[in-house]
Parts: sequence; C-alpha cells; structure tokens
Amino acid sequence: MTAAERSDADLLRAHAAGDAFAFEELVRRHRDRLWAVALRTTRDREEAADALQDALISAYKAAGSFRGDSAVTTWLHRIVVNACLDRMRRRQTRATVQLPGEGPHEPADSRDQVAERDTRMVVEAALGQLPAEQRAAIVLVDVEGWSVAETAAMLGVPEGTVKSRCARGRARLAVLLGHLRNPDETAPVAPRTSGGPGTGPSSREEAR
Amino acid sequence: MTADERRTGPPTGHSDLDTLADLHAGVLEGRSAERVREHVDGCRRCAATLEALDAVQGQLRSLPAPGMPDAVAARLDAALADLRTERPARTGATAADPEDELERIRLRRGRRLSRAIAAVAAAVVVIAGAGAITAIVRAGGGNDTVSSAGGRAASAPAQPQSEVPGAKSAPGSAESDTAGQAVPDYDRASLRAALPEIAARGAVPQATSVESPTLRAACATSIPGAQGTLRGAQRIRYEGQPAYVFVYADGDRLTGFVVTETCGSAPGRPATVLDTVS
Repeated sequence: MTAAERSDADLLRAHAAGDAFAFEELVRRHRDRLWAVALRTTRDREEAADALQDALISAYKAAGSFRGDSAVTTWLHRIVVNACLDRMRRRQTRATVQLPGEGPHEPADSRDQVAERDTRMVVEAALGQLPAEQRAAIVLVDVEGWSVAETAAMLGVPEGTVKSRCARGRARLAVLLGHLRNPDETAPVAPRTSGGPGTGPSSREEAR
Repeated sequence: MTADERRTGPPTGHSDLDTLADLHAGVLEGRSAERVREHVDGCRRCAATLEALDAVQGQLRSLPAPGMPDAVAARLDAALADLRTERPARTGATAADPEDELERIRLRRGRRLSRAIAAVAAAVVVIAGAGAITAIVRAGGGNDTVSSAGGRAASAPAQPQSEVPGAKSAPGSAESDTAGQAVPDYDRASLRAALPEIAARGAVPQATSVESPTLRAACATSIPGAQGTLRGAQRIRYEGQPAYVFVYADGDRLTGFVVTETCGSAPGRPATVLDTVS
C-alpha cells in the first residue's frame, strides 16, 4: 500500500506505530488549510508559523491518544486553533494586516485584479477587527466551510456558541463592510434608508 | 417575559441587528424564531438586513486561500524532520519530556532570518535520519571502509553494529544496510561513476535523499553554481572527509556538488562546495 492510498486515520495510526514518515505525509496533506486557519486567526505570519509549529509538534506527540471520535482533520484543526488562541491570549498580539498578498513587492496587477484584491483586503481587514474567538468561528465556518458541528468540535465549545459567535461576527462585519449603517440602525445602506451616519460597531459587542 | 422575548420585542416591531443575526445563524429557536420570522416576512427593511448578512457570508466564502510561504513550509519540514531524527522511531512512553523538546525547538527560533537556509541543515539531518533507516549503499561506486564512529550521524546515539535493526547484509550482496554507519568513501573518479546511481535513488521516497520539495528548493538555492534539477543526495565521505553530495541534472548532464557536512559555514550562508564532479 502506498502512502497516497492511506487514509488520514491510517497515517496517524502508522505514525503512532512507529512509521517514521507517516506524520509528515499527513501534514503535507493538510498544511495549507491549517496554515490558512492559523494565519487568519492570528493575523500575523510569525505568530501563525509559531502556533502551527507548536500545534504540529503537539499533534506528533499526542497521536497515540487520538481515539477516532472525530475526523483526523477536525482533530488537527482543533490543536492548531487552540494553539493560535493560546498564543494570542498570552501575547495580546496586535493585528498586522498583510493578507492575502505578499506585501509591497507583489507584481503589478491589472485594474480588475487591483479592485478584486482591494476588496479582499477590506474583508480581511474587517475580519481582523473581530475578537479572536469570534474570528476563529467565522474563519472556520464561513471562510473554510466547516459545518457548525465540526467547528464546535474544533473549538471545543457547544454548537450554540459557534452559532452565536458567527452571528455576532457577521453582524459586525455587515457594518464594517458597509452593508449596514450601524448596529442600532438595522436598515441596509442602500437604497431606502434614512439613518444617520454610522457610529461604528463598538459598544454592543463588548456589552454582550 | 424571557430574555428572548425582551430582545425580540413585540411581534410587529423591527428586530435589532443582533436578533436578526441570531435568526440568520440559527441561534433563535421555537417561538422566538417564529416571531422574528413572521415580522421579517412582511418587512423589507429587516429582510434586507438578512440579505446583507448573506452578502457578508458570500464575501467570506470567496476569500482565496493564502498559501503557505516557502519559508514557513521549510521551517515546518525542518521541525518535523528534527522530531523524526532525534527521537526513537516509536513514539510512546519512553519518549523524552515533551516540554523539554518544545523548549529546545523554540530556542531554535532565534534564527528567524535564516529559516530557509536552516532548512538546508535540516535537509542534512533528514538525509542522516533517512540513512539510519534505509541507507542502502551500493558498493559499486565506493568502498564501505568508513569506521562506524566517523560515519554516524552526529545526533544518532551510539549503537553497536550488531544491534542495528533490520540489517540484512547477505553475503555477496551489493547492499549494506546499516544504521547510517556505512557511508561510501568516494574520490573524484569513483564519485563520478556513482552519480547516475545517486541520481536514480533520489526518486525513491525513503531512500537517502532530500525528499521534501521544500527542502530540495532550499538546498537548490544555497549551493552556488548549481543548475538544473536536484535529482538525488547522499551522505558520503569525500576523500576521507564527511560530506554530502547533491546530484543535479541539467539536461543529460549530471553534476555532483560535494558540500561540507554542515552544508554551509553557518546558517544563512551558502553551502560550502568542496568539489564539483561531472
């Protein structure tokens, strides 16, 4: 049986049984998605890289205790997201918005590409305004497409908490992205609103 | 009156954004959800708010995957290779204290400026580690005359040759399977003759080769003058000196770059090339 034919669970079992290369194969399969989650959760390349490395080392060591109650990907995501949130709690990192490009040295784009990239940057920046735990839920459910149940398993919280965090996060993003004027004025921005100027999505979030 | 009822207000009134977001996310249940939904069905303003929340989700869904930078990938490869080579093959109760190991790996992060090049050093470790498991050194190109102490990977524990697991050196066999101890000693002529064999071995995932594309790329950029595609790598002794050879294919031409045991003089420095053989 070649590595390509082995399931994630097979690889994890093989690793626990002493297969020297199985874990690296498993990581190669999933690291891009894990990286995306780590980067969007921490908002900082160095933090994301550190968190991902810590998480994978932990997973390497803990593989023997994996019980198969969830999918291997869920288990890996849980370890990675927890590592990210732990690091953020410890260090209180400030968001450094560098997503999704490589910074000022990107090659010149066409006007359409610039507009599209600008839009993405605005969305990424808005995501960065959310509290870390809200953002983690939004990233997993809305950006990465995991189900509420899977996300709940990854975050180690009840499904209702995931839904609630997503609700708060989306509401705030709707304002930040200009779809709605402000949290107290639910009317959409266009075309039939008469609300005053937006006051920013501030106090309600913290109050809840 | 329940908390939900207070929040949703009278059935006919507008709901606030959080309540609508709760309805949208499936937080509201039962009667609370019904009351809000009844209102939304007849209210363009609240319905438009739900559409705005849909639009937010659409924008989030369309965000592109950021893609792992090569330097991060190289660093992860190096960290995992370290774990593989510095621990017993079998993970378990006899493993070193995980906290110590984490701390050791954290300390290594001081060299952030040289991550990609550090991966080259890790590639060397990979080669040595892979050698501990699979070193199949064909005698054709060189002589297995190196003493076990000299040929052993620096991180490998001392181990009597008789305890090497999996040894299968049948008499007369061209293979000598050891725990990385039998390192072929080449001179210029014998290395030239062995280049095709080393290049061919590079295609085997668990052979003594640079297996990770990322590490391969890091190596490729650190060897001055290397051109073409890295095809294989082998831990060797070159005229008696511990070394590695990286075999590049440029068209039909194979070139072996013999580099020092540490690849470069220091992390972040280019590989130190002892000789180039083609």
